[in-house]
Amino acid sequence: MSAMDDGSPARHALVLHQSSLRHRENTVAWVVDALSRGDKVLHRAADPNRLVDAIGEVAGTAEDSGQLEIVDAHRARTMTDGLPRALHQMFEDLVGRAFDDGYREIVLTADEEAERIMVPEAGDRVAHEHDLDRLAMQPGVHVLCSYDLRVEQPDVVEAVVGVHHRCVDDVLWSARLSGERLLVRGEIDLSNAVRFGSALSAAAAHGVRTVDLREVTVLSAAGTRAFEVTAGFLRERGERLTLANMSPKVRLAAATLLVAGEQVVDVVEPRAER
Amino acid sequence: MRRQGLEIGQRVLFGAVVAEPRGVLDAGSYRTLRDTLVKIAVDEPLAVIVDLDRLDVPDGSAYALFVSAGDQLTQWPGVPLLLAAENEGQRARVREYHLPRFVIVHTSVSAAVAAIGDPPLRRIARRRLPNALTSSGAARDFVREICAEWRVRVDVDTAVAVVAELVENTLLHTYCAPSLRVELRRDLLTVAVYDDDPEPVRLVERDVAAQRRGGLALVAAYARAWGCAPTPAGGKVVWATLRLSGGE
Repeated sequence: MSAMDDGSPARHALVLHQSSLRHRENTVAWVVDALSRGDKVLHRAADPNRLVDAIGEVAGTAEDSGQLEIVDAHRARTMTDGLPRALHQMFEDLVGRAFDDGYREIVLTADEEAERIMVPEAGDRVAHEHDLDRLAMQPGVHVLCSYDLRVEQPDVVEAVVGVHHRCVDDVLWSARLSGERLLVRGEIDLSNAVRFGSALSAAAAHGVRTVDLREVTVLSAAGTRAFEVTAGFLRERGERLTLANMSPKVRLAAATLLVAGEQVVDVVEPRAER
Repeated sequence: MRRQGLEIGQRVLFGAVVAEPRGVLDAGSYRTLRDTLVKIAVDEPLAVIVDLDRLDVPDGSAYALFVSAGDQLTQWPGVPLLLAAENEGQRARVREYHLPRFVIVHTSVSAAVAAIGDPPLRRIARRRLPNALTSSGAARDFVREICAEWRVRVDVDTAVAVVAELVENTLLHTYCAPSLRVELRRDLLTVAVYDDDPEPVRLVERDVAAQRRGGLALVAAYARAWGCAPTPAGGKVVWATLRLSGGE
C-alpha cells in the first residue's frame, strides 16, 4: 500500500499495474486500513458489489453506518454528464458532507473501470486528476488512483504520473516526495523511462533538485535519458539536478552517460550525504 | 541387404555416449533418432557423439536433425552434440548439405572424443523473449535465476545490468525477438543476445547512434570483454563476458 514514511496514507497516490489482482489488493488494503482507523471511505465503483464481496462483512457494516459510501460510477456519469468540472463539484460536495458528519480523514478509492466510466474522454481524465489533486491538497483528504497499463493510453498515463509525482508506484519503480527530495526505488529501464521521466520533471517543476537513488538497483542507458530531459530543463535556468546515494553500478551508469557526457548532473557520493 | 528402419546402438566412451545409428534416416525414423539423442543426453554424459558412418540419409534435408537436436541438447540439459564421420562418402554428403556450417563433423569418433571440452562448455541456458518493452525486465529476472541456480560467483548486479543493455539494444534497434543465452565456462560468464531476423530493421531515429553508444558504452564499462558477430542464421549476436570472482 502507498503509505508515506510516517505511516499515514499518501495525499494523492498512484498505482500503475498490469494485473487486476495487484489493483484489487491495493484498493482493498487502503479501504480496510481506512475503515479500521475510523476514516470515511468514498469508493467510486463500476460494480458496487465488488468491493463488498472482496472485503466481506466489514464492508456491509461500514456501509450501513455510512462510514463506507459507494459512489456508483454509472450514476455519477449520468449526473455529471462526464464533465470533469461537474464531477469535481460532486466530489467536493461529498467530501464537504463527510467533514460535516464529523469525519476527520476521508479516503477516496476506486475500482478498475470507475474512472473510465465517469470520465470517458482520455484528455478529460488528466483534467479530472488535477481536480482530484486539488481535493487531496485539503488536509485530511487522501486519494488513491489506479491505472491499468494494458488499458490506459500511454500519453494519459504519462500526464497522470506527473500529477502524482509525490507518490507513484509503477510496476518496477516507485517514487515518493520526501521533504525536498524525490526518493526513488526499483528499476528504471526502457519499459518505464518515459513514465519515470514524467514524475521527475513534474517534481523538478515543483522545486525538487535532488533525487535520492539509494534504493535504485537498475538504471539502464535508456533509463538515464529520463534524467537528461529534466537536467537539461534545469540547466537552461542555470540550475542543476543532483543525484544522491547511488549504488556503485548505478553511479557508473550515471557517470558514463550523464556526467562524462554533458555535465548535466551533480553526483553526490553517499558519504557526503547526511 | 539393408532393411528399412533404424537401429540405434550405444556405447560409453570416456564419459561420453556414442550413438551408432544403423539404417535409413527418413521421415519415418527422424523422430526416433531425435528422441533417442535427447534421451541419451538426459543422463548428462560429457557429450553425445553420433557416429554417422552407418547411417543412410537418402534425403539430405534430414541432416537438419543434427542441427536442431544439437540446439535442443545445449539448451537443455546443456550437453554438447558432436558428429563423427570417417567414411569419405558420408563426409561429402554432409558438406553438400552444409552441415559443417552449423556443427563440426569430426573425422572419427576418437577425434570427437578428443574435442570434448574444447572449449569446455560447462553450462548453458537460453530464453527467447518477445520484442516487447517488458523483455528487459524478464531478461534480468532470467539472469538472476540462472546465477542463483548455478551458484555463479559473479557480481549478479553487473550481469543484470549487462543483459538489460543488450536486450534493450535489440528492442531499440530491431523488430526482432531477442534470444538470450547465458554460458558458464572456465572462469567466465558469457551473456549473449541473439536476434535472428535475417534483415534486422533499423528504426530511423535521429538519436539512434547516440542511444546505441550509450548502451554499449555501459556494456564496455561493465564487462571484461564484449563483441558483436554475425550468426550463421543471418542475424547477429552481441555478447559480453564477466569474470568470476576466484578461480575454480
